[in-house]
Amino acid sequence: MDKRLPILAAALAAISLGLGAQRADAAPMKTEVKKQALRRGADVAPLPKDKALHSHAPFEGGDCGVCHQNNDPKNPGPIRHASVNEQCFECHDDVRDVMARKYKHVPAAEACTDCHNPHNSVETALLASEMVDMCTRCHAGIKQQVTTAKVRHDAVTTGKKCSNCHNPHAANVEKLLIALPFDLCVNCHAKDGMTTDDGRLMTNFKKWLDENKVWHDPVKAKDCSACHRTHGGENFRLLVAPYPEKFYAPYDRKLYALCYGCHNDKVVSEAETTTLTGFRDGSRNLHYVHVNRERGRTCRACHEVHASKQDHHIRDGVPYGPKGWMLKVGFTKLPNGGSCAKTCHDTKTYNNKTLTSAAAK
Amino acid sequence: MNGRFAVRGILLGLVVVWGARPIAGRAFANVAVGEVVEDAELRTIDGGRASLLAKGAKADVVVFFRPQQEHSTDALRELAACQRELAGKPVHWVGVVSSSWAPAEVRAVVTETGIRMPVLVDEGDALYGRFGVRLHPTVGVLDESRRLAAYEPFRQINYCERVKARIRLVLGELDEAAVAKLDSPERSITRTDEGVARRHLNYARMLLRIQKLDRALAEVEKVLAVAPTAAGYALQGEILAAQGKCPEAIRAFDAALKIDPASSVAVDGRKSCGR
Repeated sequence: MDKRLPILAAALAAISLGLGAQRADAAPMKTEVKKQALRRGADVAPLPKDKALHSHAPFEGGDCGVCHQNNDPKNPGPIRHASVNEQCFECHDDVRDVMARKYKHVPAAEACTDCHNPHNSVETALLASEMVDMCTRCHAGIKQQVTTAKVRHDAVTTGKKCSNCHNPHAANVEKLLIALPFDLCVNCHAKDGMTTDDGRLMTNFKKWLDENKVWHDPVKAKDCSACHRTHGGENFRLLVAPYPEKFYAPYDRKLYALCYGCHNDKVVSEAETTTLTGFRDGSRNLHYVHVNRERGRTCRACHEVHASKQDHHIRDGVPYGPKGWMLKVGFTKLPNGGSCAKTCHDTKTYNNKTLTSAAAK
Repeated sequence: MNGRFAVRGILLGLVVVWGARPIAGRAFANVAVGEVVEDAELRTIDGGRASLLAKGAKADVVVFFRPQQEHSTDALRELAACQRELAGKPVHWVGVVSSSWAPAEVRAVVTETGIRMPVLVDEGDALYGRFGVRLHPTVGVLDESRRLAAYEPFRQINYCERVKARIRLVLGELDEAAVAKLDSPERSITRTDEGVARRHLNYARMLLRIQKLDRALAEVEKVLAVAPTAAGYALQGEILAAQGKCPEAIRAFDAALKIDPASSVAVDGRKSCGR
């Protein structure tokens, strides 16, 4: 047996100490949840001037007649148009173009005043109340995620809040996203030195993806939300489903719910196969050999989940020792399979083109 | 004459061939985009037999999925919507599930999602192995000559849009440029400088309507500072004319006409100032 294996194992186990146990809840993967009945009509009455921080120009100027039938602050009468939105579009006709997009927010299509106070407000954009509070009055499930999530996402509650990612009027992308998820996520996750709430350094994804050109399918598909719950969640790194935090973990199908959201779990559960994976020696399933055991290697032991330099998302190295020194993974792709040179074990070659194992040759 | 028609025919043929080219990129592990897929006849979950591919179809859509998986349920629901939108077109839809799933369970997910297609039972995952299906759910779109034209694993966002675009590409209803545009939708922002300028201009027009002339002029001047348009100058002229400042108004109308000689507001405005 390679003498390095127990040392590596001990070091990696030590690194993993202190990390919390993984919850294996089978919560839905998608973030969209039941909405409550739509609120209709925010309070449109003007706030006392000393309380308001932002005013609509016509109201501020006392020009009631811009919107109302009478230009008299004491008796403005009804608005001039039968439809609230037509009234607003008289000036805000650029928003009419916005509302022509494919995916429309129902309250915006029905009445601007569902969310905006047309007179004044303490909020920017004349929102009738604080944005997260207002959005989550209808999107109650998101509220639950935002407020009670074990792992939170700052993007929801800082800066432009919900509208960091969503256009609350209308959009060209489903879920009223301003752009495809990847283009939104990498917009922020493109800095060195960002840290998680518990102080762990986060990856600069722009740099990482520029340097590693073999991208995992969801990354290629610009679908970060395939794996990450963007409003907040129960799993580390905002993962949509359980995944082992540690380098080694006893094999339990439930712990890999994240991966099995797309991948076939039989890749790991079947000891013998000639169809499920190319990582087999003859019919001996090498995923099963590595993962399906008491002290199984987790997917990330060999695979880089976002992007890698090698085929099959094989990572360059595995972290070793307290300083995380990278021990090179010596994978080589061969015409009939591949080989892994001295890393965790002596060089081993596999053959996936016949039913005969490479070792038997 | 015939030669011109021949050249046109060749060019048209090239355009058709170009339009029908498969979209390069991702593929099944064992079937690349552009490769021909062999047909197979398999047992269905309802006990009959059916072919993977259909004679006479211009597009075959093969859906690999499984029960007990949220992404598969979501994908089938999305694809059912796509199917409704493509109703009446020569598209053949077929599902494939591993023989390890109970037919009743598969039937339940198909019924729940509303997708209408025969579901083939893949004995011993033979077809999965032949294609090299590594992900669930995944869709393969094949063209009339049974070449794999597109491979689409599930995604949370815009999945139906993507699959539908690829089917329409195979049907010849979209070209690659249109598909690329759908794949990379324009950013959906609300506030643009141009839009804000339009708002100020409209607001100035409203103020003119209620005879708040000084404020209207101030608004329009804000717009002209960033977006000197014919409409802006014409409105400035109208406000100045309403203030009785015809010489200044005429200068504004002239500025509008310099940009847009057909500006009826400016032409009429000049007339109202006696020019």
